[in-house]
Amino acid sequence: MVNTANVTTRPEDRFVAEFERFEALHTNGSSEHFPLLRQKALRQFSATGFPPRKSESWKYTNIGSILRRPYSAPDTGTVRASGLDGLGAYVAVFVNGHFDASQSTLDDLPEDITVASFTDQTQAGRVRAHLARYAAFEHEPFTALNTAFVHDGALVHLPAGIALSRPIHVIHAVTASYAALLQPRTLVISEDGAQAQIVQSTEVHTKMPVLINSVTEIRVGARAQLDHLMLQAGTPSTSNVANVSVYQETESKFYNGSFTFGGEVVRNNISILPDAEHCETLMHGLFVARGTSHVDNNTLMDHAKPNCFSSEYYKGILDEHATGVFNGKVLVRQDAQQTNAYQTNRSIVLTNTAHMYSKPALEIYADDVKCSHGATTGQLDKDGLFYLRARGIRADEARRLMLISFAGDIIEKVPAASLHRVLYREVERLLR
Amino acid sequence: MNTDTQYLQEVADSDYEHGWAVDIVSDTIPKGLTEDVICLISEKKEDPDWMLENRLRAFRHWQTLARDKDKYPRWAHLDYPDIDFQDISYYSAPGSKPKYKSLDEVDPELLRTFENLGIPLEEQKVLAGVAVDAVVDSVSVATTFKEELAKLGIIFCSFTEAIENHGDLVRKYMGSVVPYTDNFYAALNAAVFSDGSFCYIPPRVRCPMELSTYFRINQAGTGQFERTLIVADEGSYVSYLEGCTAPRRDENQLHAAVVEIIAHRDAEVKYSTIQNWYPGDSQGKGGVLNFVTKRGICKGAGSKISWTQLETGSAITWKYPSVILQGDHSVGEFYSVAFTKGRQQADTGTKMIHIGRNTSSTIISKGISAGLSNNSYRGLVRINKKAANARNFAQCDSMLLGDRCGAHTFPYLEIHNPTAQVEHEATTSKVGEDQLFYCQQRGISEQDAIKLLVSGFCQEILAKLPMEFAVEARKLLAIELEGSVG
Amino acid sequence: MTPVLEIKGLKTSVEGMLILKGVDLVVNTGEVHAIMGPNGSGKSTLAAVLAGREEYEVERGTVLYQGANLLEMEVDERARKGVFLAFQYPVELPGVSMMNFLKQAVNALREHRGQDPLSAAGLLRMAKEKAKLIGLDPRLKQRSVNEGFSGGEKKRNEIFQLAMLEPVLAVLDETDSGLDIDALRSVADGVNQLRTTSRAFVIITHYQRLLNYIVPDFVHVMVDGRIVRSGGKELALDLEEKGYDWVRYDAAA
Repeated sequence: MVNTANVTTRPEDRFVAEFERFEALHTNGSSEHFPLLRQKALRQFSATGFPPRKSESWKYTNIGSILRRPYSAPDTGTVRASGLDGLGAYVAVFVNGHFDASQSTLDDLPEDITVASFTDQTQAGRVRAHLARYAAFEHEPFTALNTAFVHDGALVHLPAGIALSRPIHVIHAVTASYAALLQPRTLVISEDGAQAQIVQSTEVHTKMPVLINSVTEIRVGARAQLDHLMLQAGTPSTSNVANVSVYQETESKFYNGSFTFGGEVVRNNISILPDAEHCETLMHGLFVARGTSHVDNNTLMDHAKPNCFSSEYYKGILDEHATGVFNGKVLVRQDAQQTNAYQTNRSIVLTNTAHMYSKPALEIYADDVKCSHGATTGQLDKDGLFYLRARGIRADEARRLMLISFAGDIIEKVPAASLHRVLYREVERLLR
Repeated sequence: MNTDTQYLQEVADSDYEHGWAVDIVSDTIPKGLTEDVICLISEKKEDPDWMLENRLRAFRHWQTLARDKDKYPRWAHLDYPDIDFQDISYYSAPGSKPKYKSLDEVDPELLRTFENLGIPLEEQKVLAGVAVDAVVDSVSVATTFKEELAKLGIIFCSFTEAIENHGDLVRKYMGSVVPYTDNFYAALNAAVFSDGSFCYIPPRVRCPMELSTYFRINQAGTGQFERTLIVADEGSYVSYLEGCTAPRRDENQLHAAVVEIIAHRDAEVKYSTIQNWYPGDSQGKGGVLNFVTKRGICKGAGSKISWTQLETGSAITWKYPSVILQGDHSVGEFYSVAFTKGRQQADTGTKMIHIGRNTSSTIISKGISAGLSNNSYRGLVRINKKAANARNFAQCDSMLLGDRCGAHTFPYLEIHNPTAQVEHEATTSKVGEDQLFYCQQRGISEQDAIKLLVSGFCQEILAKLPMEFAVEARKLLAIELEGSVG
Repeated sequence: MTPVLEIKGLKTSVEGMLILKGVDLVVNTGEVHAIMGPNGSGKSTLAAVLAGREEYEVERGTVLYQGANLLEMEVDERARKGVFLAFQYPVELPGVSMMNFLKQAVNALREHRGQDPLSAAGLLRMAKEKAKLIGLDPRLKQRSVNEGFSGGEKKRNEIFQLAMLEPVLAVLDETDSGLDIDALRSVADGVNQLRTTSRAFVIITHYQRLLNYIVPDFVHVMVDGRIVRSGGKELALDLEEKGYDWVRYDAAA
């Protein structure tokens, strides 16, 4: 065993050491939890290491200083999750990575729908069949790291043809008296024709630095319709690397909404692969950052098959010393004829010390396609501001109203109407 | 026949006065690059000491980059084997051994293009690298122009002459926009460059003619590591043309040119390029690898630099003509048409670096991909912290002809000032079905209709080229399309 | 004498839906036929099929043009043989100059007819003359095809091209739609100028008003994919008065 007190030059070594410590704690009796997968992922992680500073996809985000901190995977903890008021969801709560049945409200779920912990023995076969199938870790060191630590996680299974009227909400809460490494894992499997909304959020109940490295795998069955929302609202010392991998089957519809409200360094890696014809994908995102927050959205819309539609729309508001990054790629592979793909990024930079880096990219190998993208960065519309002031509204209030309506463009498009109020509340809180 | 080729024909038909100035006995330097080779080049060029020092500094820097293959620039969307830099000869004097004995040995595809462009036979031979007895003497043409320009105080000469006669100017400006530390190929160029062009426009002088390197096509050997330096002093104007529509065959596969432009207060420089280097045969063999660093600086307030390019040649094109907008109210423009076919790969675009206040830049890029080619736009727009009220508009449209090519758009927008207004738009599509139907309903065949529509797609850019150049460009594009449509 | 156009039992579908359900029509040279009908009756489909739109599947029937099978010909071949369609919605061709476009179209036609290509000067002269005849703003010739043209200018440009290409059979697809009364009149004047004994017109329209200016020899009423009534120019006036329901009931009876 590596002595963690040793000063190591590579941050990777520290994580490997932490793995070994964590592993020793968890192998007593539960070694059947995908040991091979975890070992393989660890080997992959230590071989690849974290992305080099100069790699193209990390060009604008330096996560090195975050990774050099000594994190520990937390033990079981107790904390009351705050949840999201007014969402009216079926809630599954995980504290420090462990399922907390006492705080979850899953009893009134329709009985053929499963929302369970990976440790639920009745679901072991299902988890094993799908885990790490959609989120490949070969080229994703953060996914590899997460996979190496997988013990518990949230499984959502939606049987064919069901339509759920209330959202499912998975909460990951963390509490610790030391720098904590939380690695939530979520697996959503929807069978053919299922319809549901899944909301994921993280809660940090500590002032200590926290690194959340989450992986979410989603499979959208044929003709299924799934909405997936991700809410990140961390403390100024929370860093978040969120990896979302989505696999869409024929004629399915998928909405992804990513909402980031602060955090020290946030990096979202969202990758969606419609691997069959006639799929529709909406990829929306909103980030509001202030202080010295750094938010990086790295997305891949991977069109592999013909006749699909996708529309990506990201908006950002950068205040104070914050930095925003939009690094979005639309890839249209050679077979993906008749693809219609759109990508838009609009950002507002409010101060002299805020920064925005936008890199919307199209990579297209099929000729019979309609693809376009656009990006704008600027300030608030002066005419709009003037109009509001001419109606007697104070300048700062006018500015706030304009910003809220700028963000509202994304919020209003969220399919779960019960979330609109929750999201507006967050935005208003940040823009106060 | 258009004006330029007509003119050349006249020149070709006129009495032959001077041939190649072949007075260098031993012109070949063995392959490879060492300090000795640098010294040898410097010696042959009769460099002053400071220039040799410059070369050596650049070379030492390049060595640190070339030592480690991980440091080779690989970020572009290009796929080619690593270049063996020790397998290249870095100096070839004018009139070195021709590659072919007769036109029969030359790629027939290339000859057909010459034919279509209406290039005189003798000139075809020069361009294709065939041994000739008599050549077009364009040097004398250039000399006539030079006298006229001299009256206005304009300096337009080869880089070698500039080092000799205007050393102070060259010393002052060379490397001030593209330092040797800028990138891998800029370092290489600074170490081994053989010749190029120098141009200085004095204050408040409007250069009365398009300055062109077109007339120097027979000065072979300057193309490989060419260096161009244009200085436009306060309130002056110049339009500079580079390249030539003829697909130029060159035995030197690797090209790494550097172009630097300095625009002082209220000066304007318009730089137009037609690049049609040999793209290789249908398998992509033997094509030119073109790694160019082009950059201008709008140094003074109210200055303007405009790049316009038509890129149809080379196997690999790696080129990002850029503008540093340092002066307040300065303007940068980039207009580009890049056409790729066969196995060509182009990764081209621009950088607009906004530093001064109230600066503005415009980018319009049209990419057309056919065959098995890949065509990428890569452009950076950076608005620095102090660049208040900066404006940028970028539009990049791609068109795909065929289902085995690729069209890519990689914009980078870096905004550090809240008053910036930056807009980027891009579209990718094939030729519109409705437009095609409309043309066909008027009796125009599908092939002709596609050519018509693609030319229309580029029209906006080609119209920015100086008149005669635009005529050539249209013709060239039509010929390029001929072989890739249908 | 062979008719210019002879349609027999034409049935066509688009994406599996039958639109034309058996159309018969004979057009002789020098005649002007108007085809009227309510929205969705299949009028424009007929125009599209005649011009050769690929998305329309011909299920049954024949279309003879000057005695030859029109349906076997390519789109541009039809055009070169003298079939002209004035589009309801002419597309814009950005960057393609009017003169370059006309040069290609006129010379493709001339080549087909075994004539030498027209010189640039000849073309310019011809364009000037025809533009004057049609009342097309000469400045439009300097622009890209249809780009930024107003609705009326686009329609007039279609008639101008008709004049330039001198077709044997001209099909006008709702050329009157979206035009105010002045534009309508001037477009109609243009068409009237181009009426000759060696040219046939098929004019597709929803409203009778165009026929006040272009007086047809025959009027056909199309309802639900069939021609349900044919007659002289008076038929258009009857329709104007009684509406399409009148023929609809008639057809059902």
